[in-house]
Amino acid sequence: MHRYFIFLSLFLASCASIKTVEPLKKGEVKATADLGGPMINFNGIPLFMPLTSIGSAMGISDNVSVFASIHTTSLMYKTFQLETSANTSLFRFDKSGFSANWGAYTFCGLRESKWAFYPYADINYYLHYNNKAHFAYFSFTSMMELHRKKAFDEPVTKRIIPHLTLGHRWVKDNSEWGLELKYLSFNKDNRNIVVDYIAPGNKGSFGFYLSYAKKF
Amino acid sequence: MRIIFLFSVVVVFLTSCLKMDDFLYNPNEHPIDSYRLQNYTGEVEFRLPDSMALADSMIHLFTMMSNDQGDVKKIYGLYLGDISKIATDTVILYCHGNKDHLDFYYPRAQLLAWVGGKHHYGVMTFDYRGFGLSEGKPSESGLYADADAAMQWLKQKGLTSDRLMIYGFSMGTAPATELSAKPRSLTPSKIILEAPFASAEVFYQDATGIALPGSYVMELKIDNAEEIKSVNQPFLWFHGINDDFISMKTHGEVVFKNYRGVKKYGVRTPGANHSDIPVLLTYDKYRDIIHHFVVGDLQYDDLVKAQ
Repeated sequence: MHRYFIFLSLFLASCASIKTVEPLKKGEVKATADLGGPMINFNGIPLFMPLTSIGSAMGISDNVSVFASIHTTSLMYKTFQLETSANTSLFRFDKSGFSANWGAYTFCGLRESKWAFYPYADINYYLHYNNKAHFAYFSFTSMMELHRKKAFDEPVTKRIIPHLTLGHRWVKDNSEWGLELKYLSFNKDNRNIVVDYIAPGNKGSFGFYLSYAKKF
Repeated sequence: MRIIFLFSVVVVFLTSCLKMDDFLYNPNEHPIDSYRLQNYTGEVEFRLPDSMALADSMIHLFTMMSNDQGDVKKIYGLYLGDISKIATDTVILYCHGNKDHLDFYYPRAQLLAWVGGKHHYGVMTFDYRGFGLSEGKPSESGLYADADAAMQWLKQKGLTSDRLMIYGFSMGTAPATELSAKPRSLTPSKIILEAPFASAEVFYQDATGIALPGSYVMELKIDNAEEIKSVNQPFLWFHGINDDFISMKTHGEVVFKNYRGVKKYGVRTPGANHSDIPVLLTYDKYRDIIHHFVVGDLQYDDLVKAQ
């Protein structure tokens, strides 16, 4: 029976898309498209949820970029989901650096106009190689659950939703391909729910994401 | 201008497509062209021993008309017992789960036909619209209409509310709870829920791990944890402690807690998952608990609890 409910994982996935890791140069603009989601067992076959979003990033200065994206899969389910964030450089070395993202997911249901807001913060470490074109990175994300109660006034027990990310970007000219492996919501027990997430120790879910970006 | 137009077309297309309501229903995963019931050899959750077989003369398969707000469909019903005694017998109306059809659930109905002894109670069950050979497409309102059609059939045969017990399993807990809280043709005198779910929204919140409204992805409500507040009849709840489909903690316990009626009994079944409570409890214990609940002398103990 479980296989008929796999799409319920939709928004867990959506709250974990590929973000800006290194600030763009001032005035630089980037268009992005993402595909990916949490990994699930589907009749014994491991799959990742093929969820999509499109977005754009722009360099405000050499140290600060802003980013916005619309989650198109959510839109197909009549939910407008907007992600907005700012990326700032914290420390920059010769081939590596630390950056931070401050952002939020804003949801609005189009069936009933119910709003939800999930702020998050990321700490990123990136490392360039191959003459500074490609880079690998590691991120820690902490998303906040602002609601104290779930359905039927049941208490929300996990107010912090953490993710770990290991990623790589291949950069060629103005194009950038990305691959990310995530460990989503690793503080949450994933047993006895309708979706069979793939993760170690019955906690959270692994996620697999692909991205393409074009710089202008 | 062209870009704005194209963007608008994409947005309109994207926002007009999908909802998850249909994912609740899983009819005819193993399609049938006729009902075989006792002779069905396809997948079932459990099989009873040959010694518990019922005589063909006590197995009655028939059709009835179900009216869901003007949408009239022919659905199939099954009665185990002596139809001529419905006017005097106590009857358990069994509302099955979200999978397949009457053949798949036949062993469950058959087991109920042994509660209190062979054919001590009549057992009625049915295929919702879109399930098995019943006409139509499943819907939330259709579940309630089809369960009420079964009640109408029983009422026509002489059943009165005081002798009607309603039993819902999994998805079937929705019509069982709804028709106990808001009676239609008959008012069930007692309600039994096995593996009930709290609401469609709880499914969604469990899966996502965050407290998003269910209306983000579905129009379906199926609000058992709310409806149960209006149920006053005695209530017996079964749930598998290891249920990995409808979590006992986030679904069953909430329904049980929200009940405010005259008396409730909770049977949290050790080791049981979603579909094997009668097996894990043992058939004898399962039947015994139901029988004493129906009779009205079920006692609390280490297994049957008030809280």
